[in-house]
Amino acid sequence: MTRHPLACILPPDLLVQLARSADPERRVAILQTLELDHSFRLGRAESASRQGARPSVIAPQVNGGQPQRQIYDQHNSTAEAPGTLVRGEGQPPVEDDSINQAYDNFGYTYALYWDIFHRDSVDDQGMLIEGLVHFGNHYDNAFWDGAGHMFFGDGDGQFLTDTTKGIDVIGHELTHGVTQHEANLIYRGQSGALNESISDVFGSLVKQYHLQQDAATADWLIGDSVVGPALAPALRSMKEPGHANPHDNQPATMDNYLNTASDNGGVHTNSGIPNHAFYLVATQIGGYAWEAPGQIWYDSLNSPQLQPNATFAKFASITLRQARLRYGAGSDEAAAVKNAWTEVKVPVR
Amino acid sequence: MASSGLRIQYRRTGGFAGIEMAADVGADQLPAELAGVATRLLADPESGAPTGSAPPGAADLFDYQLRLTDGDRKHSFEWSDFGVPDAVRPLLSALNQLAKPR
Repeated sequence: MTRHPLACILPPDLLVQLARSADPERRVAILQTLELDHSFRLGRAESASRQGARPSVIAPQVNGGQPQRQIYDQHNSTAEAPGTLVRGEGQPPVEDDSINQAYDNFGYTYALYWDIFHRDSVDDQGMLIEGLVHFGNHYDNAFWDGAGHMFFGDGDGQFLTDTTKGIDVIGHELTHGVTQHEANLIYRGQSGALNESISDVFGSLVKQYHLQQDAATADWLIGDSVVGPALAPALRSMKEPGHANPHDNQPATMDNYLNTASDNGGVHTNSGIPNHAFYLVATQIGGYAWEAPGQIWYDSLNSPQLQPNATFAKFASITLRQARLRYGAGSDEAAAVKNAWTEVKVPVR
Repeated sequence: MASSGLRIQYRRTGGFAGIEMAADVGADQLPAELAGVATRLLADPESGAPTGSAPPGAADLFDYQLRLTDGDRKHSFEWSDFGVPDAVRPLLSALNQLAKPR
């Protein structure tokens, strides 16, 4: 009998049906299979959408150092294209606070990347920074669209308020663009949680750099300036995952890793584990978190070893390697990285 | 007129905050106009086809799931922020106001 290979593969929707009626142990296995299946599918799709190869930079960058911001008013529509350009680069403040907040916070985000990592905008080639504010009606969210734009809602007043107020929110969204241009981490499962965590890490560093806070002084909260009463005092805590608000279910270690099909495999939940690892690295090394810890993480994000389908363990090993390369195999920095991943129970070699 | 037996299960996941919102309501709990949207969706599921999808590389968009049940008739829908038909948006907005975090 001729076996057609495609007839032997269980389709994803059948796996979902099986998961619903399976016993707990088998359900975990089925969900892991689904996660792996989706990662291959999305990996193929995302490889096809990746930016083409950039010419290697031989000479030091002589341009850069100045953001090119364009802030648009979406007039509470859900249109995907930019609406009315209200404030361009170098133009004075306008009456609309949301426009000005977006403009300023994008400036602080650009400043971290340029001053500390010498990165010229999202793509390291001076890409326009386009913020689209007043998206939707009481829209309680902000997002990166994968096509160079960041959208910001006004909030519903209960869960979120004006999302342009959050310097870490804006840093978070722009960093999704940086990640897309570098490792292009698949937005599902562990690679998706890493994608989310990297945005929380650099969003936090934008805030800490702007406020000149060291690791001991920083509050390590995400979104504390944009939450409404239902999510107060913050959306997430890198210091204490799971304790930011009454609905916070983030784990701090792999012991409580959430296997779920929801939210692309829990990307906003399981990001708590690598978030906490970064917090531990930063507080163990001490000083400013954008220096050694931020540099290790930035080097790792840019490492060719970091593939789109990276696991936590793979990312951990890359951060340790980068720490050893930059600071020495026996350095305090490398030890802090190893200790941190061990503490959150991600295997690291 | 909306069927008094029409039930609507709503779920929103994803988003920057990562909070899952859920509601399970009868159509009679909604204003007539919005109950009518749900009724029309169940009568003509093709009208609820996504108008787009999350582009590759996108992050933090919402994902909306709607399950409509009326007796033997049932249908499920799923959209990202960029795929919700215009006629459906007011219904989702109303359901989100009734929803609670899970």
